[in-house]
Amino acid sequence: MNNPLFITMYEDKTIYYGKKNYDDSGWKEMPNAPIQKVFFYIPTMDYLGMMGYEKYGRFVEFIQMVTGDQAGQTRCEFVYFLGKRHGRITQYKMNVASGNIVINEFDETDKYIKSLNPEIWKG
Amino acid sequence: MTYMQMLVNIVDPTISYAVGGLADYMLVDLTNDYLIWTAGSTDVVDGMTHEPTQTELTNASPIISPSAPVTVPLCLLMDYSHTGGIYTHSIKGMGDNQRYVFGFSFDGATVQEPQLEAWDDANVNTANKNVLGAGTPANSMIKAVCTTVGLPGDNWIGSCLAGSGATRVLPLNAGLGALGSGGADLYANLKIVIPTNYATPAIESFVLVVRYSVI
Repeated sequence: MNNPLFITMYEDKTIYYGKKNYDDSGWKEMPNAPIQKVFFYIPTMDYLGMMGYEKYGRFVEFIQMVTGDQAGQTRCEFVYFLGKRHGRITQYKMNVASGNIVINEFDETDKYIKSLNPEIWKG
Repeated sequence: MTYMQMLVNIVDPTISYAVGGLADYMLVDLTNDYLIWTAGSTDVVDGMTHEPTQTELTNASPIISPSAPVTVPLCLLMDYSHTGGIYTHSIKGMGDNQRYVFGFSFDGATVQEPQLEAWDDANVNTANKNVLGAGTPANSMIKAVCTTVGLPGDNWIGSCLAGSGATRVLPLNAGLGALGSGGADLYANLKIVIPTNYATPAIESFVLVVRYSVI
């Protein structure tokens, strides 16, 4: 992959470019400062832009094959993009293989949202 | 990036990996090692000095009972590296009221709680084999229980693993959620229970996967 997995534009006009590997995207070490907008890479070679949120989140879901003819392989299944605003969470769940995206909405008190590692949030 | 290693206890299932280390456990070479669920025989045993042949495995198949469910009594780890000339190692405590049997060791944080799943194959989108309930996940023969925080109890029943339904996957951290930056050793016990007088004998493989997420 030649495109950064995300591009973050901060309110102070600085820009942070993500890395190009799903297993090391750069989101974790990205500076945590007020964000103006984030562009997330999707497999159609486009970017999904999100702006106007108070916080932004991103994480990746893997499956590790334990048995079977592909045992030992790890595969990236989904990438999640999240935005938090006024107590509501918008989640874009992207299937990496197909590029299909499902949009979910949650309250920030939702059990699922509260179960997520808070380190995903930036902004 | 957080990585996972699978462990199996081959000595004493009352001892955790943190305590016993490799004196009690084998790290599974997921690419080359594999699990054998079998009735066992005079040929297919703990400590074999060759890789079991297909004939030996067929002759050691569990027999469906007309009168009672059959719990497959033996799970062997087939060790590709056959250190010391030993190819098979019995996984101790499998299916029993034992805590430290199958281990999943994570070296860092996760975003969500890791979970164990069972599927037909590596496509991870169907669960229709006989062993997985033949299309009815609640009838899956693969029973699993999380033992990360305690013993499973006598005659534990466990969850029937098949597909992705919320009750058909096994959260490995006992519902306690994502792992912290230090990672964790998570544990489960597994068994295969063949229903009474099951009508479709078969030699079937299935795929176990661990699903986890990272930042």
